[in-house]
Amino acid sequence: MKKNFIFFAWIFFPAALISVLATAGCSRAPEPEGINIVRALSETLPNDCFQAASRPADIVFPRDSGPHNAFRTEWWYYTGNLETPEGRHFGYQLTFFRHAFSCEPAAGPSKWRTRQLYFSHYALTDTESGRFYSKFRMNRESLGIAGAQAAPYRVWIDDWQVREKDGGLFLEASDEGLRLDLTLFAEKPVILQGDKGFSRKGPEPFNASYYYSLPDIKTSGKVEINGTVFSVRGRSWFDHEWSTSALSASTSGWDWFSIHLEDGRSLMLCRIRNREGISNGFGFGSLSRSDGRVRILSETEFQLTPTRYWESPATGKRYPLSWEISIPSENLFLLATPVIQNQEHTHMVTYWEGAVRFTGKRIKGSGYVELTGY
Amino acid sequence: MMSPALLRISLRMGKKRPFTTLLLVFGIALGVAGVVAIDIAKQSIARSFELSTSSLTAASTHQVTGSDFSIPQALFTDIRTQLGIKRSAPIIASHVKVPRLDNRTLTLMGIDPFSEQYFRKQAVTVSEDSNSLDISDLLTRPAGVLISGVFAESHGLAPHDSLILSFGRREVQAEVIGFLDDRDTDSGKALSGIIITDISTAQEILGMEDRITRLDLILKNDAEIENIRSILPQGTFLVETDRQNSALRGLSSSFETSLSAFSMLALFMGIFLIYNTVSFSVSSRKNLMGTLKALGADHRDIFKMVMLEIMVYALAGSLLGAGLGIILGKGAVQAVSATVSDMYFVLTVTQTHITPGTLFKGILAGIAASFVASALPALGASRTVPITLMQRSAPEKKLKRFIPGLTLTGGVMILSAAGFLTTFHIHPAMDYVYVFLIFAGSSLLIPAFILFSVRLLLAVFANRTPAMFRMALRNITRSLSRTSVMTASLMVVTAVYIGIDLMTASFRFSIMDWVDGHIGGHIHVSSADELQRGLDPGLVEKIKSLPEISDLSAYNIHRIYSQTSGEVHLFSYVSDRSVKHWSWTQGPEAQLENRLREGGIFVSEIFARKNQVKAQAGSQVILETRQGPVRFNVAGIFRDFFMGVGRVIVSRDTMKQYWGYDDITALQLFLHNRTDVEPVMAKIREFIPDTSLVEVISGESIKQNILEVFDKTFAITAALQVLTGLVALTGILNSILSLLLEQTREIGILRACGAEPRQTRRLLLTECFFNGFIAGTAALPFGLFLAWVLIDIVNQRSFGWTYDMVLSPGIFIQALVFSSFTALGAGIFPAVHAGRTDISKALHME
Repeated sequence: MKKNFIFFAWIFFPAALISVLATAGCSRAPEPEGINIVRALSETLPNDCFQAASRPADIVFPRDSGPHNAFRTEWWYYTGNLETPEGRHFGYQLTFFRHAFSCEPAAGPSKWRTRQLYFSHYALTDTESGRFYSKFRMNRESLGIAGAQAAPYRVWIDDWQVREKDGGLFLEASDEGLRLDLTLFAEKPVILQGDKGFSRKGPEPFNASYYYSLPDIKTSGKVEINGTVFSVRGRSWFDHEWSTSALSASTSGWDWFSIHLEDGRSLMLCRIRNREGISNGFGFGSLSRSDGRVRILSETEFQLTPTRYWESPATGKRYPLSWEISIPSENLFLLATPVIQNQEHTHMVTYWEGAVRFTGKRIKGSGYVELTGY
Repeated sequence: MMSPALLRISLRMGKKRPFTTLLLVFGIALGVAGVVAIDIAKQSIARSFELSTSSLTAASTHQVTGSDFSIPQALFTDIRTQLGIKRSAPIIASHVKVPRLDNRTLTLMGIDPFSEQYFRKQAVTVSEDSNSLDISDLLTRPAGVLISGVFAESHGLAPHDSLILSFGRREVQAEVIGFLDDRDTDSGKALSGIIITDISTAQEILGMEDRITRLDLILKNDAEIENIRSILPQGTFLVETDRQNSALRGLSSSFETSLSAFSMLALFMGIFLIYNTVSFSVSSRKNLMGTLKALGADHRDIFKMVMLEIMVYALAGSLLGAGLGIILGKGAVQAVSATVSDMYFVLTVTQTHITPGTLFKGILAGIAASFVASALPALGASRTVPITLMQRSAPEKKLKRFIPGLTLTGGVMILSAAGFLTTFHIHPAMDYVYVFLIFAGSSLLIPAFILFSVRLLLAVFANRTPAMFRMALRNITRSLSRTSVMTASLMVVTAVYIGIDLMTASFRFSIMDWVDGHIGGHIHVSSADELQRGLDPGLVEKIKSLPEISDLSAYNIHRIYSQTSGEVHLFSYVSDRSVKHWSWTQGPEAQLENRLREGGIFVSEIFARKNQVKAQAGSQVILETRQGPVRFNVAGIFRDFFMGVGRVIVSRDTMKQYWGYDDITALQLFLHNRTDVEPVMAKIREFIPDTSLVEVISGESIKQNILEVFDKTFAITAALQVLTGLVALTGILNSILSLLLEQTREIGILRACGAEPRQTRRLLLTECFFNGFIAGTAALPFGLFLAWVLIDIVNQRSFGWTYDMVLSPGIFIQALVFSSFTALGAGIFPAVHAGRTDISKALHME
């Protein structure tokens, strides 16, 4: 008996994502469809030579803004909400993933040989037209086709990139009529999530990652959709996270929120769900006040309650798109509603990640929500 | 409706004479088989070309390639990161032989799996236990390769088996890590010719350092094309994939054209044969028709009866022929594709492609020819009054009336077709129409020619020969309506035989001549490492210093890429003793060396044809060099049979300046004493370390190899000759049987008058022999003409070769012997039969 598979990307992808999943922290890496999670997560590391996040470490800049090739998985995550002067709203996402399929050095003299693979998701949400665009790239880190570096900071695949130049950050991505050309200025200092950047995700000793965020990035530039160019301004959120085996075998997915409130506060909340669909107790969050002071939150300090579900016509998956969020100690109660419902990524891996509006009693905000494992 | 009784009578008639009926069916089948077989060969070759290239170029619209078939890999990074063209894929490709897979030549393709999603979405089969192919195997294993699943199955290869890949004499061990699914679809079949590996592995195996073979691109607009052009370094260029493939398509169509010529001949002979067989069968039923008519059957019944009967046989024969054609076609495909791969372009995929169209065409040809061949006689028979119908002399009288008209028409057809052929070249297909017309015209001349020949023979042999001999000759003219069809068939078949024979012999002669001129050395030393062409300079010095050597030619041979003609072989030499046949030179031949030194180039005829180089002073041609395109003066055009691709000769300085090659890749050694060949070869082999891949071979073996390839090339023509012979034999046998049938009474009378069986036998055999002799004589000019068409039109237009026709009297004698003895041979059985004629039964006919 033989079984057919479609070549390469399709074959490769489960393998890559299995590993991504195995190491994923709360934030990002989408959960693949049709992959046996238990098998994926119970798979022990084929090589012990990868480093793993097991204790708090000193995170130093600019060194740690670059890649950590000794870890299996890493990502650089940009999401944000943008508006034209006339008030037309767009959401964007540009994510770069690094995945090492071996910790041994590549054998052979060819410069094509590598053990690092990069892939990227690029999405635009056009709220007014109700359209959601999602693009995908994947490359090996050879000959400078894809990669990441600390100084000057740059992460890229092909011509999709975020790079540091003259003290600013420039984000560029274009694909078939969709162009993003943004300038980013961080307005608040870095948040080292968890314990000084050491972020626990589960009960096992290695269920953790190193994780820092830039919570509030002033963003301006241009969005081009099929030939129409829009000047836009807004706020973005940036995550950088690296790990080797971040999730435990009992994890089924996670719900992650980043919120920019009008009063200048920025909030990140995440819960990790186990196979019964309930939190595993290792959820986490952070609140950055308008003056930059940070409060790290544990799962006991916030509640996330889904209120309304949406079924994807493309995949049939049921996602909780409306939520009630409460942080009693901050007297903060918010209702989350997506700007449009269909912001589902379906590149071999299916997850929902999109622009969301937040409303409270006397406060409003915008942000991004990621829902995986549905 | 005709009465079923009539059809039954008619079919029973066939049963009564099973041998003639079988011959009729076999004759039709043979005609159809020829048409089908050649058509299958033609279609399959076209398809093999298509599949062999489609798996390589996939969906790309453009390619970036370099003058030495490689480009710097950094170009890929620039195209991705600077220009953002995501539909771009780097490729490393090379031919490789795989001993474990029947030593087949395949293409080793190094690809970047992540860039392939827009180009080749190939399906892979993996065994169930491994469940999915882990890409990291492909990327990290030192020599992991994917091979055709069909090969793997038929050769018992399992994952992680090792596989030796050989590049010339260099061998690399690879490991099978997965299978390509090449079972069902066309795109799958295309995969059977390739071995896939990661680009890093291919680069290491082939020692390409920081270079790759090419980039495949899908470009959507002029802006993208312009952007790419603007960043291309010197020595690299952007070509349209279509144009890139057009050189191959040209080669493919060369084969198609030449096979079309053969297909046309086969069709022509097939139709002739069918006509011949069928018309004889119809006329042999005239007695029956007369009887039925006398009994009251009306003319429509008779016509329907004959036609229906013939159509039953035609259908049976055509179906049989289609089956036979498939078998013959498969053999032809093997022969032709072996030739193509040996000489021109490695067809990594060969398959027999049988379309319903081909079979339909063959069957239609069989049925239509049978219909036409039987309709006229059947119509004639149905309209004639019974008594005339039963008279043997009736059609003869009619034919004799028509002879002047037929001769005139035939003459006009030949002259006008010949005129068109030599003056207008509208389309290659038209050439065949003209050839067809000439043959048809020549057939019309046959009755007059027979009358003339017989008269001549009678005059020559008058009174000096026994009466039986003259009777035999007169018999030929007496039953002219039968003998002319038979003679015309034999004439056509013999002409085809002569034409093919002359072409092959002339070509072989030219090749021998060329081989003697170019490969005159006693010993050849060349690099057998396809990845490292240059010979070690130390080795060259050592060989030079051997006392047995009187002279030496040293060559530098490399492949370069040309935008107009694809692959070109670039030659330069330190000294060269080869004898060239120039088809044009600028100035006297003695000064040609100077022209070369001044930077001029010599090109082969094939190159000249592909690049439209005119044979005139000031002719120039652009070649892609490492410094970009450069215009060169053409100082001479030489005849060449070198491997089908174009050849360019430049000076060593020019080669070094424009292509950077300064090595020596091959030596030809001339010895003082021919008997020293073996000892000197042994000495040279001692100079060569085991690890270096240098081939030492005697000039004699090279010549042998070339002639073997040549003979393989002409395997299909030889097969066609055999078919010709078979066609002739069947046709003639059938005709003679029918003639005999009509002569039963006559022979009975002869016997009754006291003729011995021996005498009647001799009478018939003499008749047959002279029929064949006349046909052979008539065939000589047309065979010559056909050879001219094949040499100067078909081959020249198909492959660009020109060579002189070599006439040898042997071929003509052979042709006369062929036709005379075919006829004689076909007469043996009927003659023996005639000898046994029962006198009373023969005379009892009425």
